[in-house]
Amino acid sequence: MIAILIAGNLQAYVHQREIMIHPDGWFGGQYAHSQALLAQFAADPPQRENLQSRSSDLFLDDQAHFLENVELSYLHLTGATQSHSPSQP
Amino acid sequence: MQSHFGAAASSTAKQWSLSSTILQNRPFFAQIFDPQINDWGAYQARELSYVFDLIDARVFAALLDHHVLVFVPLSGVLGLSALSAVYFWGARRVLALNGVALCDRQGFYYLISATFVVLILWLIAKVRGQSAERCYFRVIFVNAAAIGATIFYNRIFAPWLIYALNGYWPNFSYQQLPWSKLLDPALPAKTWHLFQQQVSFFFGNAPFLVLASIIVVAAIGIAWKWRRAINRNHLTLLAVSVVSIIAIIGLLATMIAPSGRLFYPRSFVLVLHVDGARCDSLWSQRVAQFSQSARPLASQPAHLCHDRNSDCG
Repeated sequence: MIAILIAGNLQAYVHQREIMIHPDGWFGGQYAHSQALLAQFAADPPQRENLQSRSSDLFLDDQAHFLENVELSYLHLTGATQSHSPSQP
Repeated sequence: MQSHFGAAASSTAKQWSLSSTILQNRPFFAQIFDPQINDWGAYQARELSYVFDLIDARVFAALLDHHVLVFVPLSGVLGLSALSAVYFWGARRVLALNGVALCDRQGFYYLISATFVVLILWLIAKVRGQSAERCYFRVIFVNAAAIGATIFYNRIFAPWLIYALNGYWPNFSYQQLPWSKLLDPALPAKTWHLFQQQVSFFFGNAPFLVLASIIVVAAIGIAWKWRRAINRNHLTLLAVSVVSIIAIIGLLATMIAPSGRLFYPRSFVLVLHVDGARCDSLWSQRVAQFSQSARPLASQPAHLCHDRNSDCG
């Protein structure tokens, strides 16, 4: 019985996924956002070495820099990089 | 991605510098008891879920640091595994309703519904003079205590902690549901439609009409076959089942009523906790919130101030 239910849900998976990722759908915006992040990660993944050697930690906080921002935040959190004083360039 | 420190940060570079110092070593509880950042100001007394969000975001960041990009949160994986374990081991053994009220407002509803069901069982046992009456009474007492503790946490303790740790009182507007929205004439039809979708989903996407027909025919067949063996216990079980179904429909109605709209019922079933008004990635927002909390304010959103040396107020 459980196998039948699982099979039924698997069969409807594609249909449900299309509903959810449709541009006008519930997750349309999220899907587009995730795809953009995937493309960003494939083209220019955040590099710890580059961020650690940066002279400034000021950056643009938009979608195009989202992964880079997360990486930089993680480096701050783990103490892998030092924050710069706001008074210094 | 707006920070609640934005107003102060954008006023003067001096204030920015001061806030930066505060955020560099932000305590764990100050991060958790901060609905202004964690839920865009919509206080829901679900700080326990923020703990999971924080863990998820840090795991996401740690994986990213190792050049791995995963969008599935750790709590989702563990939660699904735990749900499967509960299903296979039996909810009766391991289900504890008292904790869910701290994860979301739906949990509080489940807690009240379960208490109401046990209350009915207790009243039936009392009328029939059964020995199980004391057992039911203990469960009701524990659940009532949990409800009281949850109300105390929501209205008094958590707001006080938020004020003590972050200096502001939470906004309760998200928890208010005007009666006028519950009296919307279109609400019953939307709720029933959603209920059908939910039942269908949990039964392998079988059409609701087919499912309902099977259940009704099977119930009539069983009742006819065992008609002489039917006793009060069976009728009690039937009554509890009906009350449980009504409780679920009531929950769906209260979830639809605030927006008044039901865009995609099937999607709504799958993601009951997501607010459709927010089109951006909820998961990405969570990570961004973590980022805002963890990083120094010197690297806060550029739309607040593009140049740290300028006064962008």
